[in-house]
Amino acid sequence: MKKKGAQENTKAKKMKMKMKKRRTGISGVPRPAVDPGVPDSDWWPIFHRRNCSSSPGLSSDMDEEEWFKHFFRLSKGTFSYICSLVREDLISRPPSGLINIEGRLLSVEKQVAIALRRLASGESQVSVGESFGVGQSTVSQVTWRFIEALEERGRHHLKWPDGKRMQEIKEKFEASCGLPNCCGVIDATHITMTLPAVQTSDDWCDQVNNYSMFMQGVVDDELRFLDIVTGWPGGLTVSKLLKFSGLFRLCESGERLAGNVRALAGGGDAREFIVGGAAYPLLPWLITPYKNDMVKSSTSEFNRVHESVRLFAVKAFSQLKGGWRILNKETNCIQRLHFVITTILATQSSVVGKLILWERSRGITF
Amino acid sequence: MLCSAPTLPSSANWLDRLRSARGFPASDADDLDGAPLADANPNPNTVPAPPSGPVAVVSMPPSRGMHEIVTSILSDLFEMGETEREPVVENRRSSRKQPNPRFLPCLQDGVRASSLDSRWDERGKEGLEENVGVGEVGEEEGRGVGDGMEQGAAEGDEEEEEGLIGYSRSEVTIIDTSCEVWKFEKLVYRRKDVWKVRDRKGKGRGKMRKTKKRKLGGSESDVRGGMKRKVLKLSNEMPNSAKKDEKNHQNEMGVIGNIEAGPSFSELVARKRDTGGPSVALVKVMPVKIKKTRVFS
Repeated sequence: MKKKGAQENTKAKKMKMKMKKRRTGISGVPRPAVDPGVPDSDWWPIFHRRNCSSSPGLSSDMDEEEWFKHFFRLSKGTFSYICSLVREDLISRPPSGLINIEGRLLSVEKQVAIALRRLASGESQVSVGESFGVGQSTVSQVTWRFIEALEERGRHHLKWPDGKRMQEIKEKFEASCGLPNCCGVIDATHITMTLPAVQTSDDWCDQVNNYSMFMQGVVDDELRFLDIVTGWPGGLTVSKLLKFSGLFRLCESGERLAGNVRALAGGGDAREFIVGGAAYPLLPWLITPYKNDMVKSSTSEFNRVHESVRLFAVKAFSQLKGGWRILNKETNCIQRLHFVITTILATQSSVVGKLILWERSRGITF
Repeated sequence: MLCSAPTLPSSANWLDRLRSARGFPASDADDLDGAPLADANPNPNTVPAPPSGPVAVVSMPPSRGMHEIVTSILSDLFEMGETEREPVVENRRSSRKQPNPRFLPCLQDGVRASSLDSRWDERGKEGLEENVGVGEVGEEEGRGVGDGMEQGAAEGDEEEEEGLIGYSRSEVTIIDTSCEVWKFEKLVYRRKDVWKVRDRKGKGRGKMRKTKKRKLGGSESDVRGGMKRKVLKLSNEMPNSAKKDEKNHQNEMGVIGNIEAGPSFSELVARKRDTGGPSVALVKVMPVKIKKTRVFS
């Protein structure tokens, strides 16, 4: 009996030590007592204070909103909307909910911030975890939970526009560039990656000897992506990538870009079309520039206008890869890269436009 | 023993005793090859009438079948001259061959085995010929395009893979927002500038899901599932000769069922010997053997 009692005492002591250690943290400095059941919603002031000082290259007179955009690439309103989308999937409930070092449950906002910071900065999970006071494994878990949730919940933001919205796009393109009935701009880019050991096929090796996957997108006048194809090996050519895509199939069968034909002032008419670079084939619904040997004075003007439209896609892809730096890091799993791209596009493109209206309608203050 | 040894006087020499022990008549060296016949057939000089058509071993009467088996074994071992065994052996061998042999593609699973023959004549052969060409216009589901590309669901994947020899193969996961289902899997075949695309179906996809589960922190049972899948996949890569008839396919399916139930070591060894399959299953049980050796050494 005595022996049993001694064992229980030892166990109790160990538990007390554990609890004490948890309260004091790694540094040994006592922290104020917190209720483990209450999520930590005050993450932003702490994160802001901690990370402003570690960004010496930035102007000190940036306001809070600008700092927020710098860290997460989104406005606070957009951020709130995304949180509302994925709340059901990410909400932490005791006892299995994710917790930070203090033992408090991670709020949905903090989880979204962790995931967005990881995608935006491309920093390692460890350093992102340090900036938020969570461990590496928490960053990993939170990021993938967020990606899966947003891919599911934000899917409706990435779709081909309906008739009304398409009419707006066409009018804006005509107003800005003078091209009637233009529905968008198509372009493609390579996303570099590393291959797993079992998959050493040269199919993934692109023209500059990087392992990469292709991504093709159609962009509107506001740099939003209307259509995305990704996952094809980087060894493909741009024209083949197009022909493997669902967009090509739909356009060829007359299910897409088959809207009203526009009568032109100088005679003739123009059907709905998109604009593509010289690497694309010339098709009834895809307009490419004149080639160099065909350029005359009359066609050079067309090429100039064409290039000005094509720049919309160039900008959109630059923003995407420049803003979300995880795309420039070599990711070692193809599938995960798909998730990242999808998520980023869902957050970056369609959501943003919708959020502007949403923010205005609700008069959001963060 | 083929026949019982006749009783001989103890005074017989060692050769007679040996002959009698082996079932041959004693002191008649010229009639050695007739000895087994003497037991099975009372009149060894009578030539059995050759069967009129192709003879299947199973259809023979038991006694006669035994006689012919023994005869053919002996004829393989010894030069026995032009005797009555020849038509028997020839008939038996000819029965194993198809009267009109034709090429049969590698069968990947038992489900396809029955329907493959009928489909082969209709479309398989044309499919192969179409696929081999470089730069040809692909045409599947009406959405293939030129430049040596093909796209679409290829139902006879295994048949067509025969025509893709020399192509590298990649399994890709595609996201395409123009499709109803955003995310799907494809097989990409490439030889230089020729790219072909096929749908990825069935086992491949299941395996992929298993792998993904494991990567995302699956349990130990998932890992075991992956191992099983590997064994199954490899067992399907057996030589064509082991899969020619439907009976063999049924055996295959039986093997698969056993693997799922967890076979013993001896079963795995026997299976490998039968099928000529790889040693993946054996590797799994190797540590047990090593442990035992250590214990007893």
